Amino acid sequence: MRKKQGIKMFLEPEKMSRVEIEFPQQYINEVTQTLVRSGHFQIEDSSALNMRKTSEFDDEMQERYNQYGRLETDILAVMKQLDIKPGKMPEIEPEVIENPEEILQELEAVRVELGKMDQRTEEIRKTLENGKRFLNIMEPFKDLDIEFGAIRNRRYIYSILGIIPTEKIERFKQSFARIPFVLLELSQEGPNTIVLLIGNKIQQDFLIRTARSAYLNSLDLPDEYHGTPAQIVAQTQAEMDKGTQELETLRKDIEALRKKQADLLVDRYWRVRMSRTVSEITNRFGRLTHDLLVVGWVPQDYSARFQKTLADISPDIIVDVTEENELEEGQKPPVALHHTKPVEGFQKLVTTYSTPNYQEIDPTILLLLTFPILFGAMFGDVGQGLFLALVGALLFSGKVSKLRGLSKLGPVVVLCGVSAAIFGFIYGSVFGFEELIKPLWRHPIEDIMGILILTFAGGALLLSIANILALVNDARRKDWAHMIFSGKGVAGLVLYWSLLGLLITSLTKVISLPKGLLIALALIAVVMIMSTGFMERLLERKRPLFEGGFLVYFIQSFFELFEALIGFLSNSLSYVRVGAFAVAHAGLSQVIMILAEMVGPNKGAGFWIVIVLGNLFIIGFEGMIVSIQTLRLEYYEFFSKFFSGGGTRYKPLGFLSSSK
Amino acid sequence: MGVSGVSAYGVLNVRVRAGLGEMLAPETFARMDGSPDVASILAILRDTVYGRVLSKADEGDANPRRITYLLRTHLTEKFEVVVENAPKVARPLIEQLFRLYEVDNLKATFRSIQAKDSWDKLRHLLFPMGGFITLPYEHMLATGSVPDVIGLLENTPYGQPLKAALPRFLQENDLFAIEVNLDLDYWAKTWKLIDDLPGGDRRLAHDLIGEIIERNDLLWATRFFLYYKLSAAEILNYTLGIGPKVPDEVIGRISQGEPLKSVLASIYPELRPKTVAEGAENLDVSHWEIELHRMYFRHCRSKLVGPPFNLGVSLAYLFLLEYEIEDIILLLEAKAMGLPRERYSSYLINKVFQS
Repeated sequence: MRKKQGIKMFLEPEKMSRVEIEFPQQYINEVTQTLVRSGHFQIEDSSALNMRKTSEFDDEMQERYNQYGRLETDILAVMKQLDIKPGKMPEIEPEVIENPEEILQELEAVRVELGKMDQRTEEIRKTLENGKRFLNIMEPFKDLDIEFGAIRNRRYIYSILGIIPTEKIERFKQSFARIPFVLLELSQEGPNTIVLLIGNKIQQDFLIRTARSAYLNSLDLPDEYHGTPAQIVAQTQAEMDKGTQELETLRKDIEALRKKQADLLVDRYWRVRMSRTVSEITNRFGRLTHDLLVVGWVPQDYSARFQKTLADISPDIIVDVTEENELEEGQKPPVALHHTKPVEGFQKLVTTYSTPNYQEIDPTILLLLTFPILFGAMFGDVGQGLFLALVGALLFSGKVSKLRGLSKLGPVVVLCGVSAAIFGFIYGSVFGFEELIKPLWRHPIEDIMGILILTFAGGALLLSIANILALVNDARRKDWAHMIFSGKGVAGLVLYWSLLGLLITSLTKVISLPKGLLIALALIAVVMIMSTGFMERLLERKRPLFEGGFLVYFIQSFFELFEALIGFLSNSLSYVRVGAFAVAHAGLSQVIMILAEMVGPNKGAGFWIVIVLGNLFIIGFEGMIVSIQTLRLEYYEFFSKFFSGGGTRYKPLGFLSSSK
Repeated sequence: MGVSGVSAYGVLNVRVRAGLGEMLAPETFARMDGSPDVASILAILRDTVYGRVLSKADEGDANPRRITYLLRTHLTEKFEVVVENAPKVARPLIEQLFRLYEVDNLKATFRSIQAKDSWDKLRHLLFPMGGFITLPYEHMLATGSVPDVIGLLENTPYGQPLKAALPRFLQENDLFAIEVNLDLDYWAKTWKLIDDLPGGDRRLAHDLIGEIIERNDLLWATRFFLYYKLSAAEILNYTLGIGPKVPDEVIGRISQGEPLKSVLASIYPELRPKTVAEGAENLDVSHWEIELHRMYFRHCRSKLVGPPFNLGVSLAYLFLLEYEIEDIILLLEAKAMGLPRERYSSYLINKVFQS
């Protein structure tokens, strides 16, 4: 589909066409699915264009949407119970559901079956828990040779079998001083004693209350328990074993149900989710008096095929395409950025600043070229650079799970590392050692002034490129007056170059340029910059030509010129920091060397430990500072000249735009 | 008291005497009693030994609750001083006496769990434990469950009494059984610790702590009989009967309905004859509680005279200090609520108010 080739493809966003589709509401499903299936249509919310009050149709659509939402929740709940994962969306596009009731019935059947198993599982679990608790209670009594049936429900005797703190027994006995009783101390359990209290049935309440006041906790056994404690324990244990077996059978049944229903549930899940997504999209359609209206964008190259696809559904579907050059003011096409995966990190750095707007150059590729160079120039070291490149490769590979979120930045780090290594050869530095390789140029610290002048020149080159790009952007916007006369236009560039020429001629004897010509060009540029506002109004046929009067215009123009001059100076000087950081990097490496020699004068273990730690410190700490400085140069010195941003990202409709 | 008593209690006696010297003079109490508001009482207190702990209260949070906490901090600090300087054999008992506040804190925590109070509310109700190792109240409250807290405390001195009371709590969802058993267990253990003391100290401790246990038994039995309508057997199980003057027979008289006034007159002839004699059957239990505390206050004062090198002086000092602090707190609360003197003076313990 894409025909653009070469560097232009990477500098300009894809051309977009605006599409308006009007169609009778009976085609809502077909149209919606076509829009989504195309994978190229970016919808705009047209619900603000509604021309009618809410109709039955609208209510039905809303109810359908809600129904899909509920259904999706229910299916997910059942899948969770059965431990079924939805996985990835099937390659064959799931069908939109016409009748949600059918799916609901299918789901209900599974739910009922599963519900019975779950309920039984829960019952058994409770029984097992109770059994376990009961066995704990019975533990102290298990060795008693007492027949529970013999002491329970006697006509004249009331008895309490229980456990009492041993220290309370004497006082407990005293509290029964006035009534007949028998207290049998059966066995000792730590600080407690198992006792059997026997008294007159008539005094049952008294016995219970008094026993409670002595913290005698009775063993209350259900009537169905008979025999000795050992027999009861065995009986309970047998019941628990039976429950455990049934639990295992249920687990197998649930597993069988899971296997049987997994495919069906996953299929239904994706169909419901698809239907919900489609339904969600229709809520963004405009309601005309009789028809529905969809407004959006498709890539220009695709628009013809798109129209044909819609026309194939029905001749009643009207598609109106507005090409890029026919757009009205305020209609801003979305921006399609189409970079390959390794470039996405640089794209991310650009969009962090701002999304390019449709009519300007996408600076991602420029950033890819300039960012590593600036970084490398400041961080020149073969060893540290290659180490960074390795770290970047590791990030990009995604092999370290905790760093996967940073994988996009991997290529940025790799390129910065490679660039730093190349500059390392130029400066002759390997992990701070400056005698291992011969520099292709020289050590920064040996010619500080030289490297500062060189980076100033590099900065001037980058600023000139930025100014030329600003001209291109003006041309694309057809803002001719700004392009020719403004401080960021041709006039600004002429003024900048004239001043640079005068500076070079005055300070060096190597290049000699005609000073008179340069001064004349600078003066012409000054006059042009000051006439920017006037020329803009003249070309746009606006009156009066001097807005606010000539004096106000003159003062305003003077300060704009002043601002442009200050901008040239400060932006150019800002690049000197590249040289300064290169010197600082070399200085820091020297400090590490001195420290290493102090710790290990004979290059022993201490020497190498300091070298390793020092290099790690430089890579981590200085690497971070240099990255920030590079970003600052890109954003504030480079981008600000030609890149205004404020665009909207192109996000074509896709299935499953949102998940529960 | 021999040479060993002097060496064992020499340092402690000096510290206790210094502490006694710092206690508030009757005039200071009288001035506080006559103060119009909380700020005036605080102004007086700032010039006393309490000035140091009160300096921790900022202007913004000088409310009675915060002041109460800080004043009690003073008692905690004095307990620490006594424990540090006491002879080794007496330390377990003094530490155990301080643990009574931990028992109170534990009960407050259980109540807060039941009431679903926040930690912010509970922490202001707790007694300051200072340098004493104590329980993780915040964590206990966070469990939100009394049985869970009982599980947490299984390996502490409270594990056994709490475990014994747990089945009743689960049945009744009421803290009565837990709180009663904590009290019974605490005082039974305290009484047993006295047996480890040497002869003279043991007699003094039996005398001083025995009276506390007697008072508890008398008041518990009366309340169980009057308000809870418990049987004599139950009352017997919910009391200790180990105080020398309040054996089971005396508890039995109360649980059979004999008025507290009559019981008190028979066992404590030294209790102010005026109060006992003036046909005060209608006075409620709290009145007798105050009278018993005042009698105990006098009892403690009496221990300050006589041979100085024994445990009695230190115990008496700590009990008197507690009375002093509780009286100050009562005054602060009364002034904060704007109560007239006649509404609160009958609850004060200090001898200056007993005339």
